[in-house]
Amino acid sequence: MFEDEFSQLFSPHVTVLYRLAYQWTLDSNDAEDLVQELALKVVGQIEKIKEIEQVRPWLIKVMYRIFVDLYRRKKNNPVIYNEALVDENDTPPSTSSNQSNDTANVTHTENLKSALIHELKTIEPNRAIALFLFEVEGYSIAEIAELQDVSEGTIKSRLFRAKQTLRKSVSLGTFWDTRS
Amino acid sequence: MICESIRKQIDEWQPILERLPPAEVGKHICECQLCNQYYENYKLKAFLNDIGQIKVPDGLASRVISKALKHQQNNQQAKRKARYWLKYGVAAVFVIGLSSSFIIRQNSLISAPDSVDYAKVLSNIELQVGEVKNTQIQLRLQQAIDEAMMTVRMPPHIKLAGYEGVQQLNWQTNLKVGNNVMILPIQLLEPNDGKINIEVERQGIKKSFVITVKATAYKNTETNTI
Repeated sequence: MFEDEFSQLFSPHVTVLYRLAYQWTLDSNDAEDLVQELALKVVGQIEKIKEIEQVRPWLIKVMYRIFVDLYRRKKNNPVIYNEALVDENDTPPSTSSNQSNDTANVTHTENLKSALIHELKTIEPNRAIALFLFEVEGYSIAEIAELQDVSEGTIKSRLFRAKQTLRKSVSLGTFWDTRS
Repeated sequence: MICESIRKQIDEWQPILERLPPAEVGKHICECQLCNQYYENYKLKAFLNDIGQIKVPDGLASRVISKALKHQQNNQQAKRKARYWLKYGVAAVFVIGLSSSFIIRQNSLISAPDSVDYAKVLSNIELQVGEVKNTQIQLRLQQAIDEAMMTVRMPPHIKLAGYEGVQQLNWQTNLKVGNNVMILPIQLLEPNDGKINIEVERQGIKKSFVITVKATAYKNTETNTI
């Protein structure tokens, strides 16, 4: 039956697709919307999916294209300012340093995490996506280049620039006690 | 050696996000730029992993799949409806077309391409490379030809502007008694002369004409009869 077939083909990939979608959008609602958009797009292509040897990379590629389209549409929408793409309430918190107890450290970590998320939302999405795929998902440079449809050199450059920007946010407020 | 040991300690320092590594590591990192960079990279990776490993909401898969299936079902219903209307619409148009053509044929004389006297170029076709010229070609007929199949064939170095990569163009038309003028936007791609073949066909009977395109800057204002 068509329903069962589609469910069997699509559901094993939902967890990975959602995780990637979240890494790309940094918003749980947007991530769910992205996975939903993907499902709507591929539900009519079940015969094609059955013929594909590696379904997951194909689904990821389709989802990436949807994301790029949605991002462009959002960016080109004259009603929304570019700045509005970043949540106003999500301003980078001030990072404190010389706190020694665990609670302070946890707060400090949360502050750094928020600062990093804020930075990830402001850098060019392709850079953030490349970074997550490389550092978290373990993709090779060649695989990311294939997904983003650019040269490996471009991916290396995207990774370098993303790291350069983001390192600053995670190192904020890190002071070492070197007296001992 | 120290760097190696420090990096090993960084790698093994599990609560990388919660606590700073031991003071010994901190002291070295303040002095060694490469180890500092290594530590910052390691920390960044740990943060990215922490952010990227999100818990999937409960029931996401079934929610997404059922919505997609419902969407597909709606699409199929809409397609079925469209196909139904298209089928009966086409049938209706076909019946109307058939009956009206029958009525028209009863009153008209079926003409053959032999009734085409000649084709005449009304404007000169001497072109420079890249230039587009709307060339008027006149077909003179003794009898009308309904549903005549017109074919224009061009060599590879001549094209019709707006028809990229098309060397042969076919279309059906009704030709009236007397002069019928068609305009072709001819473009020359190479500095060579070329011939364009025009064919009129009706029920297997054909009549062909050839017009010459000259690749010179020479301007001829006279009418060119073929």
